[in-house]
Amino acid sequence: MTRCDRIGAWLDGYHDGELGMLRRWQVGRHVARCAGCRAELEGLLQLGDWLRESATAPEPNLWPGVVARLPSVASAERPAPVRRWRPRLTTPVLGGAFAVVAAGVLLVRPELVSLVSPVVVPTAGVVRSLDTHGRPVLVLEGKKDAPATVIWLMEPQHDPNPEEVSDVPI
Amino acid sequence: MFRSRTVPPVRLAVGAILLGLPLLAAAAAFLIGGTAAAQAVRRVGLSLMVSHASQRPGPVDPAAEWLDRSLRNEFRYQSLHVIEVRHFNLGMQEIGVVVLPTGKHVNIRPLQLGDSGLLLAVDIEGTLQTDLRVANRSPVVIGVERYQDGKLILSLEPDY
Repeated sequence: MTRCDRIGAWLDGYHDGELGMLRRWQVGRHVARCAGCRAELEGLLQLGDWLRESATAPEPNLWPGVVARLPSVASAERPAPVRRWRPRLTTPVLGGAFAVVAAGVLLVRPELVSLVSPVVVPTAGVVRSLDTHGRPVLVLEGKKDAPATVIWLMEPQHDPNPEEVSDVPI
Repeated sequence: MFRSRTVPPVRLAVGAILLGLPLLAAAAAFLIGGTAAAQAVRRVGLSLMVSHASQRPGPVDPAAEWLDRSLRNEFRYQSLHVIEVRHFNLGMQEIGVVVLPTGKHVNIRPLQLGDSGLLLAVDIEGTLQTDLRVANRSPVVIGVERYQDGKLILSLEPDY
């Protein structure tokens, strides 16, 4: 190994100020006498200057240009979207679905229809038509304690007062 | 331009309606037809009781206690006894006949069975013609005519 090779291995440390005092003195004295090593050290110094300048130089503002190009890039290069079919639960669709379900219920369990029929009071409107051939008649709708509906044909000569119905003879 | 494979909502709705309405109509027709057929073969039970309320003091027939509870607060009588009890099993439009002690015929004919009850036609010869809509097991009491020292009472109760 020549002296230049040994000094060349220390040049980086010399340049970065990492060498001890004795080694630093040796490298300095050799660089002062050796043109080749001096040129190599100058190369390191220039590289350091360039890096420092690069670090402190203002960065060019490229974003406006990028933004300006985005629409054209998007329309030109984006593939056509492929949408998957998904049914929208709109009111008509729900109505159709309800009709299908209702049809199924009617076919499978027709007796369930009566469950949604309006509840009819058992004794309400029991008598739908009445012809007594001119005889007076008393109609008593059923009550909770006496659920029977009573149709009482009165004797022709008797004209009861409704307020005294309990005195009506049979 | 913009290529889409989405089915338009209008077409979806039309499709759903075209699918659902015929099914609903078919089900309704099936139900109505089935109901009509069921009506034709449906039979109903009818209990008829002929009893006599009298001014003569006496007991209340145990079989007529429910009738006494319905009448005692409305009419004056001293005794109540059962003359005859009949049970019919009738189809629609089929006539059941009971003859009263006075000789009058009572014709009872179920007309229609619906959710609100059994529609019954009751015809008491020369006395009463009535149509009744009677709920299941709800009795109807008819005070018919004078008999001896009291009155004949016809009560009927459907069981279906």
